[in-house]
Amino acid sequence: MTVLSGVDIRGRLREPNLDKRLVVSPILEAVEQLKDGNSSIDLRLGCEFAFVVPSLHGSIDELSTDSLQSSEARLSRLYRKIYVPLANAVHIHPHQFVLAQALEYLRLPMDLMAYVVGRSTWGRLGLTVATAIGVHPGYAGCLTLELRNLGETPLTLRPGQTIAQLFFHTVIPGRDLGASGQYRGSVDLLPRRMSSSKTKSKLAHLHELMKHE
Amino acid sequence: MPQERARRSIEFCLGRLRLQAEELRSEQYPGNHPGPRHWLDLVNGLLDTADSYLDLSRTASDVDQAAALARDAARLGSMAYQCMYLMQGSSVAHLSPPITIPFQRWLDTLGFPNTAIFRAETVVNYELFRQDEKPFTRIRNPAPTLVAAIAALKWPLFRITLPTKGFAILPHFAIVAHEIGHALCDRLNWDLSAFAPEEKPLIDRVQAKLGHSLTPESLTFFQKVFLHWFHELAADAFAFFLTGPAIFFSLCDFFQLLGNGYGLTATHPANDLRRRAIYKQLVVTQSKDSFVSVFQKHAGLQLDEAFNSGILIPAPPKSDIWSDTKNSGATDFAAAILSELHESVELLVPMIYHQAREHLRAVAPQTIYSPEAYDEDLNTHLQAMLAAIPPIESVQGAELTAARFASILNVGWVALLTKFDEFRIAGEGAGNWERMEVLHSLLEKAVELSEVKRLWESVP
Repeated sequence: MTVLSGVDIRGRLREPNLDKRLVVSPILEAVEQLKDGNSSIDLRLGCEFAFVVPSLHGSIDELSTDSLQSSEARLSRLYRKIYVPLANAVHIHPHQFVLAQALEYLRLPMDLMAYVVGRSTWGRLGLTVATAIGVHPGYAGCLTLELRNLGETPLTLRPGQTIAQLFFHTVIPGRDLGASGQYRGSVDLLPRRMSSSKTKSKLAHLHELMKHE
Repeated sequence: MPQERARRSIEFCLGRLRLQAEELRSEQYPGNHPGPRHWLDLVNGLLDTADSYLDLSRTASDVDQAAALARDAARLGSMAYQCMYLMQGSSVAHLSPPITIPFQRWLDTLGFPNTAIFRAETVVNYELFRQDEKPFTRIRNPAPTLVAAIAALKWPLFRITLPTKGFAILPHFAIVAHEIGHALCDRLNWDLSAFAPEEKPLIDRVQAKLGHSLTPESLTFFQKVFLHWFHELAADAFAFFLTGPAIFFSLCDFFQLLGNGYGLTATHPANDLRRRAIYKQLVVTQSKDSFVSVFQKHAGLQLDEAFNSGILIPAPPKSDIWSDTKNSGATDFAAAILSELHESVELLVPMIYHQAREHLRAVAPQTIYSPEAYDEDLNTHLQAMLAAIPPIESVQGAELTAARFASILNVGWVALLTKFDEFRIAGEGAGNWERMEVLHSLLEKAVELSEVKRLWESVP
């Protein structure tokens, strides 16, 4: 597994073979986002945000029979989505947690994976950008960034600002690599489910068994 | 005292209307376009004027005059309420935020300075409604805020209605071009002289069917129907030139989803007649290709008239139109006019399309979507779309530029209709519905991000 250099990234962005092409679109300022000598590409803050809203529920438990949590789709009710146009302000207060979408649409070919890393400038101001940082081969969508202001001062963020960077790695080919040929991902920033349906169903089964022991 | 009780009631209502207007002002409107806020300025102006009437009513020495002023204040309150109703469904809670930007650009590029409000309503309908300034300019002693609001609005206000989520299918939004086509329709001095030879035989046939001459009432009805149908066909023509095959697929799909029989009413010509009118344009070769030949080249399928409207009900023979119309409770003259006009109206189609194209060539030739653009779009984006790369950017020389809205609509339609099984993205579920939803969400993202790119590039 090697890290792609800036030259490699540019080459992959222009790759005529669609299956090999790396897509990061739109790149609003190529020179700024893909600097010579760097081995990453800068991502910008997108326009969609989701704020966690107070709820009447004790905890988020995927096995709960509570009507709110009985459906994975209803996880979305824990958030209030807002759309902030480019360059407009959104404020994140100390210790506040906000989901934000990266501006660029990302599609990874089957032989590349990526890591999302916050930019150091924001880190020094106390902002963490991503916790689920691994992006698998074949991902297609807009990354959800988990923003948290760990500092003591409110921060004003504006869609269009560069906020994170993506490092790309080639993946050692295995028999499974891209076997399905299907891309997976979402352009929605809200979580849909906590576990796969199989894991959830086994956990629920075990939970029921243990209740009767 | 009874008058004062009435005034207090009106005062209370006006206060609540003000609160409601403030709540609306605090909402977010898609694309941050100024239409809804300018309209709310008008609402505030009406309420300020109503307040001033109420104040005058309290100090008026004449009892009748005081009552009249209070009544007028109440009437202005009702007007303000109706104005808020007019913009219902225009916030981001009802419309996807970036979607109105390309609609507004169509209006701007085509030279419409009119204030516009885009809104969604849970009705299977697209509509252009025009509100003129007359009801507001007639108001006596308007408050300065009302005068300013009337002056700031560009009249007539355009309100464009789309359906809400269930029917708000992105590729269908080519139908918004049809609604804008209605506005364009009003701008032209249409030359219908080529239809003149058909007029007399048409009226003769109607009269023969009725067994008597047309009455003033039936003649008025005839003129209204003719005008409605003409406008629908003309709006289709403009939409065709703005969006190419996208309007053909959109209307055909929408007609089927509507489930409105063969669609012939006093306001709309038959669905299959409109479909045929657009299809005839799709087969026309322009410079080197026709839309149909480009479609075949990329989709590998023959684009025939019923390509995505296999269950559309064609209009029956005119004798059946007559009996169907009669059975629906219409008058004899309505049935006669609708059935006979249906036979003749298709003669209007070539002249309508010709004049619509010439108008667009004169005012905004860059808005015309050509077979060459279709070819380039499908070349660049179709296979990419199937590999989960939405049409956000197009290649122009060595540069990547923002994709056109018409490009996104057209690529979306071809992918949905002909390549869906080759679409290589896994949905949350295994069914077609979920996979279509993923494709749809990619098209929405393409609209959003192409607009972001366009906006970014507009800044020097």
